[in-house]
Amino acid sequence: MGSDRLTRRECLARGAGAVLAAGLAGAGGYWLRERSTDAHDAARGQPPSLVLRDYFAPVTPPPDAPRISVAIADGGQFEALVRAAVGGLDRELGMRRFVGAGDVVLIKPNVGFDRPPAMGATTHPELVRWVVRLCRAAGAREVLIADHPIESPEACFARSGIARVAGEEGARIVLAASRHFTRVSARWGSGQRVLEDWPVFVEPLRRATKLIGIAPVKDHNLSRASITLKNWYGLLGGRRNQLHQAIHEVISDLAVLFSPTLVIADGTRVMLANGPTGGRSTDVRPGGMLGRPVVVAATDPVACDAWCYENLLGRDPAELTYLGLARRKVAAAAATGRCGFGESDWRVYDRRRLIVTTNV
Amino acid sequence: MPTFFGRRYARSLGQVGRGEQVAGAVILLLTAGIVATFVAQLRTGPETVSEGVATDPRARSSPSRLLSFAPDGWRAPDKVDTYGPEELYQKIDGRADAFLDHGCVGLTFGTYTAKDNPERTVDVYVFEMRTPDDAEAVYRLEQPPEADAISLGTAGYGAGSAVFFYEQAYYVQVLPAGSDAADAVAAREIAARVADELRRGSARWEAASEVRGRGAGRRSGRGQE
Repeated sequence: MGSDRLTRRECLARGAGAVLAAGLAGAGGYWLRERSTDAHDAARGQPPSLVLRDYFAPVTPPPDAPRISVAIADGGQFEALVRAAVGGLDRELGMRRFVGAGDVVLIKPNVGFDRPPAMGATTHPELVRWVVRLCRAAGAREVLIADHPIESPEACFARSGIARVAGEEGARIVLAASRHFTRVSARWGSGQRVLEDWPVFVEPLRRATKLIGIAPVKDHNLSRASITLKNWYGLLGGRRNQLHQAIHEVISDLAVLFSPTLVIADGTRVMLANGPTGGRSTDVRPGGMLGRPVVVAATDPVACDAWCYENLLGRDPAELTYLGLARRKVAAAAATGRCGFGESDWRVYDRRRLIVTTNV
Repeated sequence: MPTFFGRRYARSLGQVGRGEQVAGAVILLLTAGIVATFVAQLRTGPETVSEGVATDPRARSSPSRLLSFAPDGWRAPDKVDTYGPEELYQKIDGRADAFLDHGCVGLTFGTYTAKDNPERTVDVYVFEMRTPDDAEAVYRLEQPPEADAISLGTAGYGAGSAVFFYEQAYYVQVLPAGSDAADAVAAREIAARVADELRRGSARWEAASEVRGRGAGRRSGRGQE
């Protein structure tokens, strides 16, 4: 046997080495791939606290504090509308009820489409401006603005006017990158959830101590309405068009997945038809059925959606499937200490005088 | 004598044949390519949404021609995007299903910009439907009862400053951001030109249609199951 020929023992040893190396490489790759989901899998059935922080818990208002505050104006007086709406929830403290010194506030507007503000498909930039200012005045250390539109985020933020306002007000826009997403679960309490294991844009949520959603009030082709609960859809990752198959279940899951400090419904321009994209000015009316610009601030997003659905879109909340689902899911979550309020019948609050209206 | 982890090899490099050297180099290059692809995928990540723009050069060039005209004082779109049925939701999320249900096989989109004010814009959506009947059906679906009929395409109407019409198998929305008279005039001019272009149906445009039409067969690929 020459020196350049393998012995049988050497051949077996090399083969075994190659198999071992391949096995180790494969196992290493598999471990790297699964590492991000392992933590979630281990925590399945339990609240993943990092993502699902309860932003409402630190500010829970007194039981007799208004849950819905409606501000109505004769024109586009954004400052007055925002001040009156937020101030209605706490006449003494206003935004200071919700935001304190040193807070990092995350504002989640709807920037879902490459549309100009007049079309009502996105949150009005002036509303964002005044919420940023109120947060700053209340002592916020930093204000972040985030959304994850499917269209080009840069284009959507620019066209909506929110990029310009953020720059002028010193707020920071957080654009999504793949590393910013973590799989989370909306499983709080009992019952089935669609969003049991879904990627969410957690990076800005991780940094924030307070969370404020500002959503336009719109007709929606699939869910009938896009208001404050549907607004959280914009922080979901993955192929979220797949979620359209169970849109009401998903929106009601969002009611427990996100527990915001405060929500604000932008009724300055209400898209009454052809939503959620719209595109024609004739589908948009200030205040919708009220006919005057409206801003609604609320500590109960479910009741806020119900109020807006009836009073701004002019439709019967009893037919809006996700409201009832959300009510049940929030109640189940509340049993575990999660979430604030979730009343699908806004008249319950009306009877208890927990709705205030201010004409500005 | 080259060594690897201290192992002594029986043959020197000079004794390795040319064929073996080439095969070794190919294996090394393939390995490097696999690693580079893996790293690139890690950087983009599975949640990253693609641009949704067709990459087929035929599908891109013809729609660009369709929206190449610009009225006085306006700039034609810098970029014309096309979307197949599977990407439609990326442009009109929430309404895509309604269009797909009516046989939409593609969308061409571009934005005109006023030369004196970049905030004055006119968006043009050209939805390609499977048949003229499909185009009419989706046109009727969105037509408000009080719409003002205008002579444009096979049938058209104005709503505020916006213009809507269908022509052959195409449903077209021309949507100004503003509502003043100048925007409305520009929208009408653009709409008329697009209608003419669709009526003439250039060979290249039909080629693009064919490309997107093939994509229609894959409609069930994303979220439509």
